[in-house]
Amino acid sequence: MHGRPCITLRVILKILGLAVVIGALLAGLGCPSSKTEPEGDAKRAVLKAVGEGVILPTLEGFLAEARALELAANAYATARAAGPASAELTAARDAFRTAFLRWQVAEVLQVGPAGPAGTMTGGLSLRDTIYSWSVVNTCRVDTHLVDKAWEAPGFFDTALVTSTGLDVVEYLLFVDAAANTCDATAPINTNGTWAALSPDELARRRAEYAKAAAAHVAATAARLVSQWKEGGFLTAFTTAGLPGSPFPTAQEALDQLFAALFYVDAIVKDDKLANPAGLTITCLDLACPQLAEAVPSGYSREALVENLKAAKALLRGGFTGSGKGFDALLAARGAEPLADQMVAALDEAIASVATLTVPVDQAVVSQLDDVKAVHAKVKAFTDLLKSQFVTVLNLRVPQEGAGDND
Amino acid sequence: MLGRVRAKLSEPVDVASLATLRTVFGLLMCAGLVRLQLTGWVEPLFTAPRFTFTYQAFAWVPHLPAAWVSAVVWGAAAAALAFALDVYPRVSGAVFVVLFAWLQLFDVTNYLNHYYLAVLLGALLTLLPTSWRQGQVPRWAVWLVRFQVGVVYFYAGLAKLGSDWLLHAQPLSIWFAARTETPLLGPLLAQPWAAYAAAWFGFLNDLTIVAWLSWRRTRPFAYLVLVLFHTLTFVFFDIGMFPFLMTAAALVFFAPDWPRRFFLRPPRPTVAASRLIPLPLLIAVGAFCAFQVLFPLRDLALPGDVLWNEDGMRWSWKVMVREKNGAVAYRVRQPRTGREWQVNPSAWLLPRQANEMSGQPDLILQLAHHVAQDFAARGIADVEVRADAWVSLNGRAPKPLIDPSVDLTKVADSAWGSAWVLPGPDEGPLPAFRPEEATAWR
Repeated sequence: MHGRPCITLRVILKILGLAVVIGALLAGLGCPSSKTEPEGDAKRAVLKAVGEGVILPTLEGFLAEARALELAANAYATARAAGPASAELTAARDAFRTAFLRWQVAEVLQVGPAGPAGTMTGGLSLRDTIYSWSVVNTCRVDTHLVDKAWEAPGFFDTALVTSTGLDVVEYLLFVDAAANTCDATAPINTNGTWAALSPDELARRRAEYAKAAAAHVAATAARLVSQWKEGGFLTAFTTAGLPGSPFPTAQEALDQLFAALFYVDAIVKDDKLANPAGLTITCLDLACPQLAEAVPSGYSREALVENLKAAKALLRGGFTGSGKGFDALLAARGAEPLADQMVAALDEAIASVATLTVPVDQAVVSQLDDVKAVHAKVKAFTDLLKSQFVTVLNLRVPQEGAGDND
Repeated sequence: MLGRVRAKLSEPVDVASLATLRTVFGLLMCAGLVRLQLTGWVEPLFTAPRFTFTYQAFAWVPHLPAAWVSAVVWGAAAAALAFALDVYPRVSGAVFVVLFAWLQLFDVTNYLNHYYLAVLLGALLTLLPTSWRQGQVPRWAVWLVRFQVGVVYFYAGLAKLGSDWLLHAQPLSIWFAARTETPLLGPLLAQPWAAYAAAWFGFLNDLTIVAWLSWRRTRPFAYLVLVLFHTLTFVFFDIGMFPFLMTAAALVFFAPDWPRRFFLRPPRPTVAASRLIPLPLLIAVGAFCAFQVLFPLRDLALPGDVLWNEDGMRWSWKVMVREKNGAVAYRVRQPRTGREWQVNPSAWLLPRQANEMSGQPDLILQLAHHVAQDFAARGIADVEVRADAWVSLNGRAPKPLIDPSVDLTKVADSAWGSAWVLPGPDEGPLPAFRPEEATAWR
């Protein structure tokens, strides 16, 4: 009796060893090569369609437009140094509009170098350098107009994101007020340095700062594109899960794409619509126009449309709908109607933006119900995104990573 | 009859299996807590949240300052190690249980079944004689631990007795589709039969494994199957220490002296005279067992589908049986002014917390009450708070979880069902994964 359990346990160990060998053989039979691995390939096909057909073209387009903005801002600054230059200002504003709206597409595509460092694979936080809204500080920009900080060597390398980027360019090109946005106790007001600037000098400085900021935006855009192409992020992204890619699995790359898509929920729905419409606790008044995006330029409606079009491109895998996006994966799971429902929700949201006859900051005063209707349409999309979409594809946003399950 | 039962329960048996389980349990818990620290999870789980959800019965549990949480984690790890090493096991075990339970009661969104099991096993192994110095223990002590482990398996199997799991292989097929890139075994998951095979294997394993482990002839093979089962769950799912904990705990089904025979071979302890288990202790043990049997069944007495309304979900070993995500927004209205807000839970919660909350009505209710308090603190008193909650269960089209007409500030949480929770979906879940369709468009 004494020896029997001992023998039994030895038998268990032998059987365990045998099971491991059989298991390994079975597994080996199941995965002879990546060609027969349908899911990994299906996901990489989505990553390829989105990476090559949506993200890179958007970033390349933005780079070209950011360079055009740099040239236009330069021309305006040169002309403004000699006197009023309304034609050059108009050209610079037009160039800003083109670049700004292209960037609004890129806003929804923040994976890799554009994404936050430490959270996204390959993240360098370049987005915040190019466009930091809703983190803005116009008083800081006004302060720089006084101290001409942008002229200092290396200013843009060390400046806070609120001193750089498209939001700063917008403020400098579209605001010509004589007053600044700092409160009365700010040094530029108490020491009289702002008041000492003549209107002409102020306009000149705004033009110069805009020129420098636009150049920095273009340089950052070039860096972003370079990271995707020469830096190899496009390859890393589209070969996720294969040897050499920093993404251990294609699923993880999809998770990060999904996290980027969450922009529609957190920024479009909440920051761009709910906050100015007084729907959130951030705004305790009936409406808060000052919380709207692109108040100086008035391009807030166009920005919303571009954001929503970008989300649609991720779902469809391309801007023309010819690619293979998340919709293909949903169809593979038997949830094709969901893809159609989400695209329809986006189309309805885009159509509802058209009902706004003025920019969002004005619409929350004159057409508040219409702004709330746009919010409701966007919410219809994000409700699907956060419920069935995430469930069916079993996606996880990176911030959810902590902890185990059972 | 009772006399014979008491006599049987009181027979002395070798302490070796309980002592070994205590050692392995302590080491596992210590490793788990050290892992918690080293992976940096203390911050997102304990110190970063601005709002935490409390258990109804444990609202009194105090929260310590953030700086103390790490000390608690390290303290629990040290206590677990001392427990493993048989150093003042009653004291070290009690310290571990208290500290570990405190960590688990910190925030409901941290709830895991295996954390609950760790507290129960820790308490049992502390209260029972498990020190090597004991030599022998009454049989009921071993049986009680077997019972506790058996309850977990049996109810985990019972929870799978449903059409989603058995007929539609959900949510397994959803999870498998996301894990086909797992090294070696991943491609198997893409096979159409894989989710069904795993669903039935898991169901039958959980429901019957205790019987196979209890029968001496099938025990070794049953344990082998159990090891395979937990290895697979470890490979495919992020379930932390659970597979290790259960694999170790199931060893208690072997003969009480198995460690002595297999590893140690020291002289067997002298047979002590059997002392009849005192009647009050027998009653207490019986009451504990009755609670463990009945409490997980409470959802049967409550209306609705537990996977949907979550009434009776926790503390019931309904392990890995649902994939549930939702979108929740609160509509806050001040009747006096007619002013309305639509607020996102992310104003108070971390993404992980918001995700956990989105499918659990009692947590949605708890945050609703907090939202009302927060508004009052901002000078907007007497608000009504309604929830707009759309939830997808096992891949179904989203449905509203909470009655949007109910002012949640007027509702108190109840353990006896929630009328303000809407009925679950009628239609079946997402069809099982079909990989051939995934490749069709390539």
